[in-house]
Amino acid sequence: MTALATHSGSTAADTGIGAELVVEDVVKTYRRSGGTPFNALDHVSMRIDPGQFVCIVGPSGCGKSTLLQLVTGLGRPTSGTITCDGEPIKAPGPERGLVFQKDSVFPWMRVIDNVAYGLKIRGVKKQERLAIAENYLDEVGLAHVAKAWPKELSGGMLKRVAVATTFANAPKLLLMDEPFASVDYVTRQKLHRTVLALWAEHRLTVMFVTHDVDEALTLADRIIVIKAGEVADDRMVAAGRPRTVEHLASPEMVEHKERLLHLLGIGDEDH
Amino acid sequence: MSQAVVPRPVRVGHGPAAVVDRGRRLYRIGAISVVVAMIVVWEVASLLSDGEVKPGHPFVPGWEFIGAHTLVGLSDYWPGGLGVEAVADGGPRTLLGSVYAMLYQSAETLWRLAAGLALGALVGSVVALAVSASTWARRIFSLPAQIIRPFPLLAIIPLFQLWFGTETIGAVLFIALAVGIIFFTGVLNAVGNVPGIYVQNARVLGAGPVRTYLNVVVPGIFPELQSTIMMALGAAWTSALGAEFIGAQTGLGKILAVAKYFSYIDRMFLIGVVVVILASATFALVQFLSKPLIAWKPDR
Repeated sequence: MTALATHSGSTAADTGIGAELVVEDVVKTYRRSGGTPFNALDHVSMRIDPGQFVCIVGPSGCGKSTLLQLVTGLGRPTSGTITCDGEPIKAPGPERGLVFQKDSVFPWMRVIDNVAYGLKIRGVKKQERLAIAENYLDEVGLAHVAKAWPKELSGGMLKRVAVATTFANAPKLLLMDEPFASVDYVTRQKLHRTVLALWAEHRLTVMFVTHDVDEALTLADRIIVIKAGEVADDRMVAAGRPRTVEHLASPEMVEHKERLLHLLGIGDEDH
Repeated sequence: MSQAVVPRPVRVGHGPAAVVDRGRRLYRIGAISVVVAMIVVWEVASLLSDGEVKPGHPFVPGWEFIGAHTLVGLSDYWPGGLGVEAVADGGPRTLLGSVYAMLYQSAETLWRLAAGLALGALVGSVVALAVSASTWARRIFSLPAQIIRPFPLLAIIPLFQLWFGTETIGAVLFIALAVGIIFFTGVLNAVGNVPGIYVQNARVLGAGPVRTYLNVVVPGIFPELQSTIMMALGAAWTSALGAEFIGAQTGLGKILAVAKYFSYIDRMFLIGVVVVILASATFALVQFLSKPLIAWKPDR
C-alpha cells in the first residue's frame, strides 16, 4: 500500500493498528409519535480492542443501527459515554469511517472523485489523492471504471466504491451498517472477501452491523448480540480465515450458530 | 408560454441504440407534423372566415395576406438607421426595414428578459439557499416570501412602472420578481428533496456544514432545478411581454400593444409567431447549457 503510506500521518496503515472503542453505559431515548419515551439503547457497554473485527447482530429495531449512529457521531447518547482511543465522540470524524446500508455514493461525482473526496476535505493535494483513490479502486477491482459516473455501475460495484471511499479516508475504526443487505448472494460473498482482505492488510478495527448470522460467522472475531436495546450475548469466534464451508460446518461454528439463532428467537421450535 | 421540452425516449432494458434513435426520429416527425398541421389549420380557418375587423383587415389573416402586407408593415417599428429611413420620418415600408425592426425590437425584449431572468434567478436562489441553511434567514425571509408569492403579478405592472419608469429598469425588475418567486420556491423544494444519506456521507467523510452545502446540496438540486428553470423562463417571457405591452416604448410587447390599438390582427399574429420561435430557441438554449450540469443524472 505505497500510496496510503505516503498520504497521511494518521493512517491505520502507518500505525499498523486500529482504534480502541469503549461504549460505557449508553442510553439513547427516543419519543414515539404519541410522546411516549422508549430506550433504543438501554445501558449498553462494550469495549472493542484495536484491530478486532466485531459483528453486531440483532433483529430489526433492536438498536444496532442506533449504536452505530452514535459511534459515528451522527447522534449523541442520552446518557453514557463513547470514546475512540480515549477521545469522547461528539461529531463525525475522519478517524471513523462508515459504509452505509443505502447507496451513499455521490451520483454527481465520478467514481474516482467519490473515492478521493474525503482526502480532498483533508487537504491532500490533487495528484496525491487521485493516486490513493486509484490504488483503492484497484484493490476493490474497479480501476477500470474510475472515470465512470455512479449511474453506470451496478449495486455491487457501488458498494465497492463506498468501501474504497471509506478505506481511502484512512479510518482507524470502520463502521459498517448492514452494508451488503441489498446485494445478491454471490456479490455479497465477493464483497466479504474484499473487506476481509483490506482489513487484514490495514488491521483497523471493524464494527459490522448485520441481521444475518451466517454473515457474522463468516466475518467476525467476536459477535455481540443486541436485543431490545440491551447486550444479550458477547462471544468470541476463534475459527481461522478464510472461513470456508467446512469451517462454517465445524461443530464449534454450528454451536455458535445455534446459540445465536436461539438468542434471535429462531430455532426454538426444533427442540 | 408552453415549454419546448424534448422528452427523452423511453429505453426498454438494454436494447440496441437503434431503438433510441428510432424514438427520437419519430418524435421529430411528430413535432414537425403538428407544426405543419397548425399552419394548414390556420390557412383553412382564414378561408372559412370572411369577417373583417376593419376594412381590408380580416379577422383571420391567411398566409398570403401576411406575406403580402404584414411582413412589410412591420418596418413601421424600425426607428431608422443603417441606410433605412424610419416610416415615421416619411420612409417607405420595406422588407429590409421589417427585418431590422424585428431584430431591434426582439433584441430589446431579449435583453430585458435575460437581465430579469439572471437577476431573479440569482436573488431567488440565494435567498432560498439561505432560508434552507440558516434559521435566521428563515425567520427574516419566510413570511415576506409567502406574502409576495400569491400576488397577481400582471396587476402590479403599473406599480413597477410608477416606481421604476417605463423603460428597461422597470421591466427588468418586474421580470426578476416573477422569476425570483419561482426560483425561490423551486430551490427551496429541491433542497428539501436532496437525500439525507448524501449529507450524512459528506459529514462522515469530514465535510463541515459549508462544504457539505456546496459539494452536496448545490449539485444535488440541479436535476430538480431544471424544471424550475423552464417554468421561470416561461414566466420571464410572459412578464417581459406583459411589461412591454402595458408600458414600454420598445420591444415585441410594445408592437403587440400598438397592433391591438389599431386592430392589426395580422401583426399580432405574426409577432406571436416570432415570440414562439424566440421562446423555443431560449428553451433549447437553456436545455443545452444545463445538460453538462446533469450529465450524471441516472436515466429513468
